[in-house]
Amino acid sequence: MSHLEELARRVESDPFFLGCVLKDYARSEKLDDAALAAALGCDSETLTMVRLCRAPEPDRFREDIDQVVARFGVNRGVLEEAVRRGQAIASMKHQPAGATGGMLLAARDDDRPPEEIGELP
Amino acid sequence: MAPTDELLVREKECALHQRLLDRDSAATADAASLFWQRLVEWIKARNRFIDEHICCDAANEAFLNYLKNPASFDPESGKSLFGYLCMSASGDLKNLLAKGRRHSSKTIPIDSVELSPTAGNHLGEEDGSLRRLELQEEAILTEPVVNAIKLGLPPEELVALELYLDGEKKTDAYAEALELQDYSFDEQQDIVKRFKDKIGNRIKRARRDHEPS
Repeated sequence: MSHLEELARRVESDPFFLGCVLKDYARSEKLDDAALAAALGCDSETLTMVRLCRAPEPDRFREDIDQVVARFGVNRGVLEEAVRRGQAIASMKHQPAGATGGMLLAARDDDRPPEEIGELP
Repeated sequence: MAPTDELLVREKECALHQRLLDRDSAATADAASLFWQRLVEWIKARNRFIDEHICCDAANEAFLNYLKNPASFDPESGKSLFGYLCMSASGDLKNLLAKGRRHSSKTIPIDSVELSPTAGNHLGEEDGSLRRLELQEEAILTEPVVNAIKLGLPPEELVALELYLDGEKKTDAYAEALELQDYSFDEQQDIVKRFKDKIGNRIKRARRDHEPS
């Protein structure tokens, strides 16, 4: 593994870098590195560089995507989709515990076992 | 490096630094491409006795801190960006080693207990490996610096130099390396002192000439 690949792996857990959202996107699409590179239309060295880019921020999303596309020539549509999906997954991951608990409670509002609820009208 | 080359490197570094300040998304990758490998190699070479994973962690910490806060580097300071990263990484390495030492000092190694001839007698003593680490930290030298120090030294002084770099303090050890058996102990002490001063001066000179500003 090259030094840069090693660094790119190190920053995969850091939301400051594109590598973090790309990892979540790849996992959601069940893509390995080669498939992710193919989807972005680049080789593995370029994918490493893209992972080391700064993740786009909401207030300058388009401009940030433009800079990465202009510099590394990756597929804009796939990159945008990957970033949006990755950021959505990240925000779900970081949702406060209370919020998740609320959703689970709503799904289990009726505490009676299914046989006691009976058939719906 | 020729002055023109150095100027070009500085210009390249300044342009990249400016892109980072402007929040150019691709600039972090370009900075990694330009500095990361050099920084890792530099810190590993400079700390050749220290675990390379710790060196990498220190480089990682310094480099990411800079990428996230590029304003921490002041181009007007006269230091090159690479020099600044090296300095930060060295500082982070010292902190990591100090943290490791604090952790180790709170831990009683199991073998120390098992091998202690009279239980407890050795637990308060200084851990040899920690002392060695300290000596290594004091003697952190890059390969080019060591080569410059060695230049022109006769074989017996090269042997004594190894002792010096290993943190040896005893006059006896140096006397043997420098083949001073025929001298009185006072004379040996005097010669060894002069040798150490000579090496100390060579280290200062070599560091000045071979390490990034």
